[in-house]
Amino acid sequence: MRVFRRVAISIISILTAFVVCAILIRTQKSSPIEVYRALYTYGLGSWAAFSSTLNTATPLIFTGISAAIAFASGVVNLGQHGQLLMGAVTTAILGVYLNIPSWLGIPVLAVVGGFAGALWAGIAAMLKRHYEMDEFISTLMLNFIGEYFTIYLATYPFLDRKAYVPATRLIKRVYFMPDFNGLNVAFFVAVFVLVLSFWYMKMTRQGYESRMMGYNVEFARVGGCAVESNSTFVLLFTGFLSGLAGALLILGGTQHRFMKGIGANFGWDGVMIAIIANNNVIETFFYGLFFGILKNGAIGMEFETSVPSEFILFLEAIIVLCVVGTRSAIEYYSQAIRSLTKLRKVVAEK
Amino acid sequence: MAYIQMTKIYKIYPPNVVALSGVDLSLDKGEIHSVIGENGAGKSTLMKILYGMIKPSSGEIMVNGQRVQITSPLEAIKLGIGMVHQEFMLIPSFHVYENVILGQEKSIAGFIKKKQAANHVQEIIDRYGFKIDSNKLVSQLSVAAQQKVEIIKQLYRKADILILDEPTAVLTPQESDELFEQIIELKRQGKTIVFISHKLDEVLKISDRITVLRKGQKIATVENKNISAAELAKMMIGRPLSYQIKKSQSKPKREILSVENLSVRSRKSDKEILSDVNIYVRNGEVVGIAGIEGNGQYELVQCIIGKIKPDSGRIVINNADVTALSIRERRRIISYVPQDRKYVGLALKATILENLIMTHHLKKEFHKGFLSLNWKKAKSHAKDVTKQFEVIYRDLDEQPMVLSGGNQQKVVVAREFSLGSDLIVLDQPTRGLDIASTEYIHRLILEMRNADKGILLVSADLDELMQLSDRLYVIRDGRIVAHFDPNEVDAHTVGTYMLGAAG
Ligand SMILES: Nc1ncnc2c1ncn2[C@@H]1O[C@H](COP(=O)(O)OP(=O)(O)OP(=O)(O)O)[C@@H](O)[C@H]1O
Ligand SMILES: [Mg+2]
Repeated sequence: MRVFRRVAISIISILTAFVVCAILIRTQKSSPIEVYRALYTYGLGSWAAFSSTLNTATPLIFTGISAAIAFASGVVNLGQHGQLLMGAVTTAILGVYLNIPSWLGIPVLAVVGGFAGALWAGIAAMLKRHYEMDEFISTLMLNFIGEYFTIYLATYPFLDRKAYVPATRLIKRVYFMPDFNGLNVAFFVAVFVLVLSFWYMKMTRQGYESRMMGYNVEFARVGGCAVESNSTFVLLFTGFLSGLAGALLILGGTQHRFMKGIGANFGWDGVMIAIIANNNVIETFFYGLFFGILKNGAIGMEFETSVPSEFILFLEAIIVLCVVGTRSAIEYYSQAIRSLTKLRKVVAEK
Repeated sequence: MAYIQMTKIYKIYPPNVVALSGVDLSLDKGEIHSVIGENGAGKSTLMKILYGMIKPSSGEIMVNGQRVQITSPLEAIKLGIGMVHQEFMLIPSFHVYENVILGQEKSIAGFIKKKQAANHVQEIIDRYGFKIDSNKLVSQLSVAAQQKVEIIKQLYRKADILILDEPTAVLTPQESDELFEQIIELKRQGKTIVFISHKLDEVLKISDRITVLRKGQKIATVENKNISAAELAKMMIGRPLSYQIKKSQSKPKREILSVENLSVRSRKSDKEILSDVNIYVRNGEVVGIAGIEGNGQYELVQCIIGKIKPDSGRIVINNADVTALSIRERRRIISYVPQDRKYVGLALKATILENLIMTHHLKKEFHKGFLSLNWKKAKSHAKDVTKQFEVIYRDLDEQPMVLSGGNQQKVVVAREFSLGSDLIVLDQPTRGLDIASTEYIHRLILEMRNADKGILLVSADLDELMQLSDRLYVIRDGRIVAHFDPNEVDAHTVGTYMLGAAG
């Protein structure tokens, strides 16, 4: 029942967002129907489109779940961007030099990338634990440091001189992650991470403690939860997930090397998705897919219609606002209506 | 004609909590009117409506025969209605007069004339006979004095009606008496007072009329003549109070808790919050700590459960020195009911189930496999204890937020008492609870004592301490200043020690 309600609310909000966007597209003198058709064709319309959507969604799912777990535990990890970059650069560099068979190399490179992300988050964890520095600030700052540090690595020590932009060399071909009919294995890793994260949050004792910390940290502390070590673990684990996102971007994506801008906006999109999804990992997964459709479909929109690419970012923002806004509005008015009917009943009974 | 007439007031909190259903209330000019009722009866809601803090779902309010819409406290103040809340809203680092004029400052080109303001506030203070210096910092004042500042604040805003929501909950008997004198003085000067309290003797002492609410309905408004506390209680609860607390002689056994030479210094000022405190608790007895709020009892409890590290001294539980142990390790052997159920005792937005298994989750019997919680076991445990402790709820997946105050506290108490620890630390376990819930929790406390648990009871309610304790310490300025057998002293004597007026 509760699940049904949440799904219904999400669908209504998304539809509202589409209506609002349609109006905006009209004001731009384009046809909303054409735009939406392009969005559909390129986002969902065929297996090719759909598998590519899933590939696009994969990093978003990782960063989204990373943010969702952190926020639900009361740990404000906003460093997904930096952690992803550190994971990506580590995997990209090792992928050039490592010399082991493919079946071993791919998982090793993925995990090492994850650890690089965890390490980056670990700096924030250490500052929090020993100097009580707010992870909110430290993870944010580490994003900037990570950004410039990785660009430095790709521009100087590990530069591929044949590339046109600052980039590392291509990783060994044996480490390219396989795909099935266009759908990359990385997506299955994302599904596995979803299941693992759900199990951790809902079933384990530490997950229980973490969620209670998210609800009320004083309650958790006084109740005997290991608040400090759980926070550290959550920071490391969510850092790992973001790092893994970066590693899989190298192993499974299309570039197979680290280059400037490879992190795109995955970090911040993940944070946004987690917020829309109320920090629930399952909802995060589905919103990740939804944004995958938008992103992929957006490419189609640009091909087929005269809507400029900037407008697509604008539409994304509108959709986020509409989803969040409509959801609150629905909750508010449905509550108002319920209390009004209750009032009628109570007055009538008198 | 009544001065204020509230007619057929309904309030439904979204989505469907009926807080008030068709309540009438009329206030005459210059009367002291008490509003009583159990937890969740709707007293605060009714008053917040009159003060413009919340909007009624339906109903009308007349002031002096004029129909009014009170949409905000600002509006209420214009109509001469002022309210002092259950929780104070003062800024500790401001002076008394600054707190009083806050939001109503008279300024010239943005500058407040401090001296003039302070004088003006002092005038008001003197006119009504309060004994407070308007130039003191609020942080230097006692709780009782802070409450007076809240009242003065309303008087400064020219309130003719003063609503006092449970003003005596945190006061000693002496302080309460002083407050009553003040209230009567205000009445003499023509003010109308609405007084809310769970203590019926207080209500009978000062009111002219009493309105009884039960479950959002008005039961009656009665003149305070020839009416007894028992009759009022019956109107409030709908049935007579069933039992009296009977306490058997305590049979204390071995020592379960001993606090030795405990001292704590404040980080901010170099003041000692606790100095050289020595107390002990044995199995099978209730040991009370009496003291005016803010005299170190809170810190003492925090030291025992491990939230504050003492600067010197030791804490021994069950013959083991626990001074260096973490909260987590200590909670395996201590049951603890914190004073603040909303912000420490519960996670209001988690489920009732999740609230009930806190701390239990550390125990082996709730583990499953290497990492998991045994949710099935947790559920059946939650069902058992909610039944045993008479918690009223609809669904274990509900949030404690929707429970009444009494039921929220029962969740906390059920969780802690079912832990089975030999040491139970209770910090204000019945604060703000109505008579029935209070009696119920009192009975549980004595049950636990008879089951040979050692109980440390910190309370601001002296009656409660006198009733339940087998031994009683008085704490003042961070020192234990007296140690009594409550059968051998009366409340007044204990109060004298609390105030520091004893030889
Ligand atoms: N903000 C709120 N949202 C939902 N329900 C509320 C809210 N505030 C109060 N209630 C509910 O409305 C009812 C009346 O609450 P109210 O605070 O007026 O009671 P009260 O008589 O003041 O009780 P107490 O003696 O505990 O202070 C209770 O059932 C309470 O749970
Ligand atoms: Mg109240």
